[in-house]
Amino acid sequence: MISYEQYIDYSPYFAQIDIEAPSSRAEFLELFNKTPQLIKNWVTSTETAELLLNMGISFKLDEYDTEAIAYVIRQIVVGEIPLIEAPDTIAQEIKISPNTAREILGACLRDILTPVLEEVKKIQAARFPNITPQTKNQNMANLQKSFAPSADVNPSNIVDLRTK
Amino acid sequence: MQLKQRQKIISIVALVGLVSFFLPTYFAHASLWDYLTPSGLITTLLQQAFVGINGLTAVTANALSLAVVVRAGGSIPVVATTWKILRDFANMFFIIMLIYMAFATIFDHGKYTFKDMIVRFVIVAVLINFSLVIGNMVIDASQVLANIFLGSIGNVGNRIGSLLNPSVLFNAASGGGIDFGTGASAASITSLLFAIILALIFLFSLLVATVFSIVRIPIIWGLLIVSPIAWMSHILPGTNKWWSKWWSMFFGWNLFLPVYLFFMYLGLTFLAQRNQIINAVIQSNNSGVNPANLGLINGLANGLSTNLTFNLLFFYLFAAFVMVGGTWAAKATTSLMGSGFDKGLGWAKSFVKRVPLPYVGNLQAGETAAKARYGQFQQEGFKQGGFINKWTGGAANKVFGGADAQTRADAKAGARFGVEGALEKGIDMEKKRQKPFTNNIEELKKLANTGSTQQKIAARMRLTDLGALDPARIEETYSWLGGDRSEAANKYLGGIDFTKLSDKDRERLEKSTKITDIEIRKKIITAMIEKDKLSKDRIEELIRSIAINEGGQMLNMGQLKDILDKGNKKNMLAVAKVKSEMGFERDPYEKVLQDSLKKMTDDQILETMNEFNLAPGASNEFTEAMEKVFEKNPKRLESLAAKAAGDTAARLDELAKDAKSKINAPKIDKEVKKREKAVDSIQAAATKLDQIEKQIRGMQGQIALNPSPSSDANKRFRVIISDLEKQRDAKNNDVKSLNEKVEKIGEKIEDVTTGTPTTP
Repeated sequence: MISYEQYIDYSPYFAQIDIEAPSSRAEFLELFNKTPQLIKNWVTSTETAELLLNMGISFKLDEYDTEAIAYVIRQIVVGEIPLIEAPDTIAQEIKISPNTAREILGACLRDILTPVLEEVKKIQAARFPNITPQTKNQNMANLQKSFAPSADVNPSNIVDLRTK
Repeated sequence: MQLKQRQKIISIVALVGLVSFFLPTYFAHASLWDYLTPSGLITTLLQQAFVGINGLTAVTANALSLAVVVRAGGSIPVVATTWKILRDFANMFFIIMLIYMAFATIFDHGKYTFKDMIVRFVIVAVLINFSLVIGNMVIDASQVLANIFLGSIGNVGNRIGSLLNPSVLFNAASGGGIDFGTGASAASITSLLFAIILALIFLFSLLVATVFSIVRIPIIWGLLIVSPIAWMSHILPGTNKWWSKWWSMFFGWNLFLPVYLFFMYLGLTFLAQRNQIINAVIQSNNSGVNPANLGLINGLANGLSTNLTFNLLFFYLFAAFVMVGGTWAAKATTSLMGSGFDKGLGWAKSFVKRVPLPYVGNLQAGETAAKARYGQFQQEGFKQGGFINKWTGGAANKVFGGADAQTRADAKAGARFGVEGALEKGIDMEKKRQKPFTNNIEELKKLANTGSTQQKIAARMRLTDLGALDPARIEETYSWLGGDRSEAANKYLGGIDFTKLSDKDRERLEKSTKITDIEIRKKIITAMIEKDKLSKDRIEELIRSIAINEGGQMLNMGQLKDILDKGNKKNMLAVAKVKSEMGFERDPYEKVLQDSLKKMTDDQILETMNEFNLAPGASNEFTEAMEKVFEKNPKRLESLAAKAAGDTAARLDELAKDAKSKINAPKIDKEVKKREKAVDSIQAAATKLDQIEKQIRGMQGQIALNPSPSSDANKRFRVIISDLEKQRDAKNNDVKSLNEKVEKIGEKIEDVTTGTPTTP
């Protein structure tokens, strides 16, 4: 169970509220209000904040960096930024290499965003329709790569539910 | 308070009134003032008491003379009538008995069969009708016996009155008067007191005899009335005990009178012959007597004609003895009477013994105390610290030291002959004897260096307890007690609290070659590690000395570690090093030190820090361990600093600040990063604002170039400018808000750094 302070820091809804420009906040709130209830619940839940905190610990990120990731996740979920730009945004925010940023984003998509992933895809498609199919495919490939099991997992133990 | 005072005044007035009431009314060659002196008042009171007791004695004697002549049996109508009713009632049971006997015979029921019961049944069936006659026969037989003594004594009251008059012993009671003119002497008061005690003894003896002489009559009547039931109970085996009990009571109550009268006859006869007996005893025909004793003999003989003499005193004491003894003897002889007499006598004794007396409380208390004191004297003799022993220069204890002295002598002899446990016993006895000097170190020191070995050891043991014996003597005492092979010797050293000795004394005892017992050495070394400032090498040496010897391992690792733990306060660093280096802990020295520190209380930490006497800024292994252990607990450091003083407090404050800084570092880092981002955002907003401004100016320039203000192009430009102006306002608002936020973050950083509460 996380504390109140931790919730304020790592919840996507409140992340970096103390340094956010009013215009940026107003834009976020406008988008947030348009999202489905599932997204709203997810963005404001304590479980999401806790998962982000644990993710930060597992990647040995400091408090600021973890909060910055939560902020970027918010931007992705409500459609402030396109998913494709997220790794660069993360890399820029917390000053890490793009590869590490991609790893972190992959972990977030795999472990944290799962319950709302389909909704997020819809929002992204609605907000950024101009992104080319090629880019989309590339993006999906990257995502699939993120979901791919690690080398030490026996392939025979994996059940692909999409074929069922 | 007022009520109490009033009660006191009323009591005094009542007492004075009572005393006045009893003041003698006969003439005396004394003035009224003589009565008002303390001794005069006491004498008068005693005199009146004596007269009263004598009066009671006379009444009791007369009652006794009447009670002894009353015949308990005979044809007393009430007894005969009631007896008949009970006899007829008992006869009815014979039929039931016969039926019961018949069934018991058929079913062969134990001792209730015909052949078992028929003899008793027939005898009882016949004799039950004579039970009153048989009872009267027993009464008559005892009465005949009593009459023999009554005939010899005559009227009991008169005989007692004529022969047993203690008042003739003393002038005060015989009406001779006390010479109040010169004041009542102590001797007169003593004489009176003695007379009263003697008179009370007579009264008590006569009272008991009279009461039982009277009480026996209704009891015997009662027993006669229930005699048919008693006879009836003889038939059945289960009720036979009632039959026996009835007879024992009946005989007992009948025999009391003849036995008592026998003793009274004996006593009165003795009193009647007093002069002849005294003359025979003191040899008034004194031919052949040593001339040196003639004076005494003549004095005694002349006393026969005087009122207060030794022989009279003796006789009355003897008479008292016979009277009281007679009553007791009657009770003992007639113990068949059952518990009734015992209970009555016990009550009387208890009453007399509980009458309040000055100084001792009452007779019973005095008796108990006297018995206890006598027992103590028998045990201890003339005590060593007692007055008589001091007065005689210690000779009294040597002449009679009681059972203890004998035990001591036995123990001494036993020790010489090597009897097992004799030395210990002798020491115990000596300890008991030295009790008066338990805390007298000077006296104990004298005893510790002179006299028998037992005495010296006992005194030294006490001195050791008091921490007043030097190590050399401790070693010597240990040897006297038998050294390391003696249980007593090891018990002696084992009982010493070595932590109370000085460091030098402990050091000396540790180095002693005589003390080799592992448990004793363990105690000494534990005390040293706990109390003395020791180097790491010395601690290691001490631990090794009790860890291993020629015979192998002596104490296990756990025991040795416990000993080392004792040194955590005084020798913390050295102990941690020893633990780490000797393998008591697997961790490195620093970790061992930190673990020890975690277990310490605030007081222990402060004491240790004070030992190091650290100046502010100074550091050693201990402070490094402190930094590490309390890096996430600056509050504990602050609380320690609050309890400490001087340099220790200052150093603890520094440690607390450092710990706080370390804890807050990530928070500060986070806030700094946030501020940087906010500043970047401000710069970005400012750049954007600048661009918007440029765009607005560009659009306004285009409008100015167009001569037709109402052209479509100008309209479009104005819409764009309006939109840009909105953006400009929004960005201005962003910049303003972000600047405020940056400022707040700055404050937050300042708060975290200085430790003041952060603003919400």
